[in-house]
Amino acid sequence: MKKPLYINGMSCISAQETARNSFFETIPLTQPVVKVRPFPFKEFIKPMQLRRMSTAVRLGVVGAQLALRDANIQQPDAIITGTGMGCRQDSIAFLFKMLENDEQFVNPTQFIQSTHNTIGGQIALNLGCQAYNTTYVQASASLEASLIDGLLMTFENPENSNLLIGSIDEIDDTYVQFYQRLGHVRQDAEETGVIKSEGAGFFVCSAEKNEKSYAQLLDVEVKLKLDTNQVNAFVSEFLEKNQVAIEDIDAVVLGNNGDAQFDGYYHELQRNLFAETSQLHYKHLSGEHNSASAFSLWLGCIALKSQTIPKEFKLNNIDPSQLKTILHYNQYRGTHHSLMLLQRP
Amino acid sequence: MTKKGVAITGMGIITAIGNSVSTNRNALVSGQSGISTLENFKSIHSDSLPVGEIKLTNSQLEQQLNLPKDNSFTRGAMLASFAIKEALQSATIEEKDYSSLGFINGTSVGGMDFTEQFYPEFRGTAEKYIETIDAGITTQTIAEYFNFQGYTTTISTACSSGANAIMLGARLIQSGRLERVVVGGVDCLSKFTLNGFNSLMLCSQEPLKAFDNSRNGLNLGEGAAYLILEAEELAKQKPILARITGYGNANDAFHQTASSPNGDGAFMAMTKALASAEISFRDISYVNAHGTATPNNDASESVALQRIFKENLPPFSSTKGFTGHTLAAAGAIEAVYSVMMLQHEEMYANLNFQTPIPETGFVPVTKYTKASLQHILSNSFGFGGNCTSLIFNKE
Repeated sequence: MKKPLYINGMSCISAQETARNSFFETIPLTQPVVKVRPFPFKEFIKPMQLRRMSTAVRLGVVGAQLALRDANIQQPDAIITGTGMGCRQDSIAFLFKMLENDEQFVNPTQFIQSTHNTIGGQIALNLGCQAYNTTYVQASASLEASLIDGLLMTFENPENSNLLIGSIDEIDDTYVQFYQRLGHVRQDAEETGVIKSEGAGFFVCSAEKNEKSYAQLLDVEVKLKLDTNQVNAFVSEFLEKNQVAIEDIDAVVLGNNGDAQFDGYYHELQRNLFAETSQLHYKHLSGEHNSASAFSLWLGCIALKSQTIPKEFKLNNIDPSQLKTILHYNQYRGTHHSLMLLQRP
Repeated sequence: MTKKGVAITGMGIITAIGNSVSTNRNALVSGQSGISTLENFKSIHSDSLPVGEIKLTNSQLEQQLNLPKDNSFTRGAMLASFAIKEALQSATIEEKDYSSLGFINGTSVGGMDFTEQFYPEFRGTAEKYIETIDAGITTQTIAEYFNFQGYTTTISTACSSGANAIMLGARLIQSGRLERVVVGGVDCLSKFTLNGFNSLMLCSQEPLKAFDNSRNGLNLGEGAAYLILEAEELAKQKPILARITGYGNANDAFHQTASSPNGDGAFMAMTKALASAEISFRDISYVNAHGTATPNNDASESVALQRIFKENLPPFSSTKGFTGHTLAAAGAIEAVYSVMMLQHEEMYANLNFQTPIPETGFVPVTKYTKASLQHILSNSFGFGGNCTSLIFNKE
């Protein structure tokens, strides 16, 4: 009935050196707000175009190209993008100019680029791709929404191959100050707030596996709200639905971000369902943003392909006897609880 | 012979021409447009750009919805909740069962109308609006208000968002991932969009004239509309209003805001929708066009229609002359209108039309007309080349 999605190519642009799709020397994050590592965007985009591109659009356009290259595909059969905050830089730039000038002067280019689906639209334009194209804007579950669409597509038509699915989020220098004001961003040695970052991850997915396949994505689920005492049941029911036992989970990748106010959800799983399981975390290296689960999925794929887990990601001292099935769980500030179930291809 | 399709068991709507399905219908039947002068907020464009405004202030909406004093609903969340209430009642879903519903929402403005009011100080209690800028947060606010606990997400593809939300909902039901789902879209008027569209020279200073040779742009509108879709097992226990039998999405990949001269994206979306409904273009009784009255859209859409229907163009109209272009809500509002047309066997007028576009010579339905309809094709095209077509069947 259900059909998995094979991940046959991918890319990740982040606060770490992830562009080469292999394990890297990790760079500790020491600031509360961290942008992506310097990246040679001009090797991929003409300077004239690049100049007018926001971070989100350049991450999207290049992320897509890298993933397609990795999968050895020229044209995808669908372009499905997720973004929690969309094109915040252009939105705020347009808004600011409009308000400053009492609507007398506005910048039409910034308006065009402020629409959330401009990223997916630009990717399509660059590729000349007329295939199915949609954009999900659902906070930290935007990648998950895109993957669910991909799972639907494979179920509907197993011949759907080479679905380009990805998620992007950018930092806007003005708006990040508002999140700091709200206490969402870490200050000094505080235990609340997170390291705010940005990044993108793209996955070329297909109903068919090939020798390049990193993993197969079995299922994805999102639940808007949960209490901490409901999270174990949420995970158990998901695994049961997918006929996977707790013991079958070789590693669980958790979105702990150091915010004492909300990490309790992860602690519940760490102490209960997954007390005997190898536990991984990543946000101390990727930072926190609405597309962080793309980093998580990328990490899971790398781990399954290389059959190793580098020590920088380990959250406990349990080593898996094999690496076949990985569960990813994420939430942000108590909402958008998401699960992704990954397996060797 | 025809594919069965997904059952629509309820619907709700609020637009410039009415706060309910029946009041919208009254206006459509009588040909009464809702285009007027902007009143709810101040803009330098108030007197020059006509809009399809809902004549309810935010305070009035708050009161009607009985929201608590410290709520963080923006206008979009309120309009959506208003329409969803009607939809749930019309589908006879009891409050205790709201938790079984999934929710797929289309919006492009999100809460930007409040952001622009309080930016950048967000003084005092306005601090709660810092986060409401995000489209996904509008959806979350609505889901929490109704306690929808099924799969919930937001699609933001500009003017095709509402149509894409309906398409996704239908796919979720057909795949068995959901048994019942609220689908649709909302967008409210804002200085942001008014200035944005105006700066692209897409707005008209007169009521819009879809498909007319002298058309010169759109009027922005606001609104919300939602359908309740249910799996067959649940739907067969109640009256079914109509069915969604086909859907298709494609990308024009031509330009960020303009449509290709041959209407490639539109052509492909309509082709996919017909294929998915397993019908021929000859089976379409009526087309609800995107018809924004911009020189570019109507020319491009006409060419695409000609490519699909050749010599057999069915009656068609754009209802945007009544409501204005409601952006993300458009596809959902026009879905509700399509269902109404199927139920009541009628077609609504394409207002303000006088002279056809010479290249195609197409003449839309220009006044309310009784007609027995079987299959309706509805188009929604957005920035970023996003083209979506839906097909609705009479039950």
